[in-house]
Amino acid sequence: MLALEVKNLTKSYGSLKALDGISFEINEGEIFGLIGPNGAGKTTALRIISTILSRDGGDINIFGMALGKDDEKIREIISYLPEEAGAYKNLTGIGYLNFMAGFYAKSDGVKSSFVDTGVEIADLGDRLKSKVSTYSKGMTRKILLARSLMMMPKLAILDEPTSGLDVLNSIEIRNIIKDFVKRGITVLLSSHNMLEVEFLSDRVALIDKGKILETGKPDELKKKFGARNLEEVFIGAMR
Amino acid sequence: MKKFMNLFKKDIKELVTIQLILPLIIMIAIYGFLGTLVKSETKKAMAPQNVVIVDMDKSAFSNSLIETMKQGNLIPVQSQSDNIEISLNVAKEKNIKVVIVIPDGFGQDVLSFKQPEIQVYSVMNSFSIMSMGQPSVVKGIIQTINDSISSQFIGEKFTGIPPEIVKSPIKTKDFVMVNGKVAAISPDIVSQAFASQNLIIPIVLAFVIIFSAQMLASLIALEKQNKTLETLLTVPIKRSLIVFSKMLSVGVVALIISVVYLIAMNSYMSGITGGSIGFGNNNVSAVLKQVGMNFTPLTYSLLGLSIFFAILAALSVTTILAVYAEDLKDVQAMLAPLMIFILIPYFLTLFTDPANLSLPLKLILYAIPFSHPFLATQNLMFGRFSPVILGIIYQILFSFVCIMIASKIFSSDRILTARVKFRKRLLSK
Ligand SMILES: Nc1ncnc2c1ncn2[C@@H]1O[C@H](COP(=O)(O)OP(=O)(O)OP(=O)(O)O)[C@@H](O)[C@H]1O
Ligand SMILES: [Mg+2]
Repeated sequence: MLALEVKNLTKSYGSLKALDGISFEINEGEIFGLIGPNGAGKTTALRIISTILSRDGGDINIFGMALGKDDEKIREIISYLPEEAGAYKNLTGIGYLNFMAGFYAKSDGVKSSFVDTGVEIADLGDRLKSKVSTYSKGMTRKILLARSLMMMPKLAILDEPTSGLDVLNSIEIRNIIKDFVKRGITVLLSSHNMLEVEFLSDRVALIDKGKILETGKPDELKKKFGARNLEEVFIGAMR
Repeated sequence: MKKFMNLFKKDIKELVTIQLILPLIIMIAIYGFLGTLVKSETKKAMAPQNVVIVDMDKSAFSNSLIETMKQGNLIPVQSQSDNIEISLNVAKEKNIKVVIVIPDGFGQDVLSFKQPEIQVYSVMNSFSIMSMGQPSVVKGIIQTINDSISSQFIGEKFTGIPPEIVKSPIKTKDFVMVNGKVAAISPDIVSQAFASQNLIIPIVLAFVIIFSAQMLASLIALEKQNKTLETLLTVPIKRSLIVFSKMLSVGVVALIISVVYLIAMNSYMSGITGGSIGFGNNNVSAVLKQVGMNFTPLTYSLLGLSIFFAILAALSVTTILAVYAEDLKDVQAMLAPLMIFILIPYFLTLFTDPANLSLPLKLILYAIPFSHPFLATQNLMFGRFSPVILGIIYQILFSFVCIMIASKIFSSDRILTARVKFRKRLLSK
């Protein structure tokens, strides 16, 4: 089954065309990377798929459910990690996980298993008991990532999951994402770090100025452009 | 429901913070302190006052005059000197505020109808409300003395007729008609009693509406400032419930705060007025009951509804305004227009009779949904129910439309994109 199907998606902000008819598909159990430079339209696309931004045209299906019709149901099976996000400052880390788990768990037992998973991902030890307002940028990012993966969403939409993290933490996060995909979730992520995307993704789409330039497996794309890495692929595709 | 409670609990937690509680405690402490301070000042003013007496007459008449003063709550302190200047200095030293000079030949002059003068010197060294009362205490005593002397004279000439009747051959008896009901009571007392009830409600009301609007706007702006809104909007809970949770949590907190505020305000007011003004004051309600202006369960519920829907209307407008606030700093600017619309009815009803307003002003007043509870007390007490009920219906319609718009905005992406547009508009100016 297709986890996500995007057909001819368009979106303008006033006269600015942020998305100019993009289409792609994600298979269940895949990590799909959306790569492109600043202002390419990645965040816009992810926000639309996450049900929080309206679109001008195009069709989107998430696990067979049509966006715009089944939004309530879609929200139950997706999770979205915004590019710039925060947590409630007066909650503790653990309090935040509990609060967010409360929206997805059908029972208290399930809720505490969600939170346990979250605690494991966040890996913040005792600091989970302190207020989120005292966290560093990286710690906040980790608690937010823990939140977006802990309830095993069918589709996790991660906008630059490692932004603001140091090398070690980035590697750890990448491994966690890979591990969760093995456990059965599907991931759509965006980044302008091409090397990261190359390492993580099963398939990628190159996006620029609201248009998709290429879609495919990193290896295939490298072969097609005779490039050593995705950065070179991108430069080739831009021409 | 479970999801809603989850969100509701978080919203309440977010509202009840030190920043909210601290100013409130300080405010209540200040009112409580002022109340007791004023109360003790009043007591001091009521307590027997020292007055310096310079008795140059030293007749039986001046002696009896001093005796009368003692009965009238004054403690006469005889001056050792007949010199006024020295006596004034003595008063200043002893911190006595009034000096009374009884001239030589005073008793004689009274008896021969020469209308002698008693000189009253007030030593002023401060202008507090309470110290203003002192000369009038003395004047009151002199009035009493005048009364008793003239009664004595009249008694001598008109034997057998009570002097009071000679002094005022005609008597008046006051009646008041309210709501078609006549009661033997003075209109002053009624209007004072009415004012005492009407004084506190608008103050608390204006405070509660402004305060809850501010809380709600902050709550929404905080979601933006902390960058939690985007995540919240992807959570599986109805958008209308997100809005409702915020309104309800603010409503609950506002209710508790307004009760506390009412109590604090009430103790302050009854402190100022020596207990004669106050909500739920027994004397006041007894007076109002006599003329059928007391609150019944029906009037209470109508007033309650009017207040409730005024707050709801304010909250629903706030929700719409708050969408355009990017962070807490923006909230004040966003709410400024709302404040004006709350203060207009507050001042208009406080300082004017709404019935006498010019038509355009009247229309403005009635079009503001927050005006209606300010107008309601007066209307209800005079048995005019239909304007109150119409007002409530108008408030419900107004709130309904605003809530629909607010929910629409929360369901659209304006809540995410509005701030960018707002910024652009500011920049282009
Ligand atoms: N709310 C908005 N109002 C107006 N224009 C917007 C808005 N959000 C994004 N844009 C514009 O749309 C275009 C695409 O933006 P988007 O945020 O999707 O890019 P992105 O690929 O996520 O970039 P980055 O890598 O910098 O995050 C940009 O030109 C941006 O200026
Ligand atoms: Mg982006």
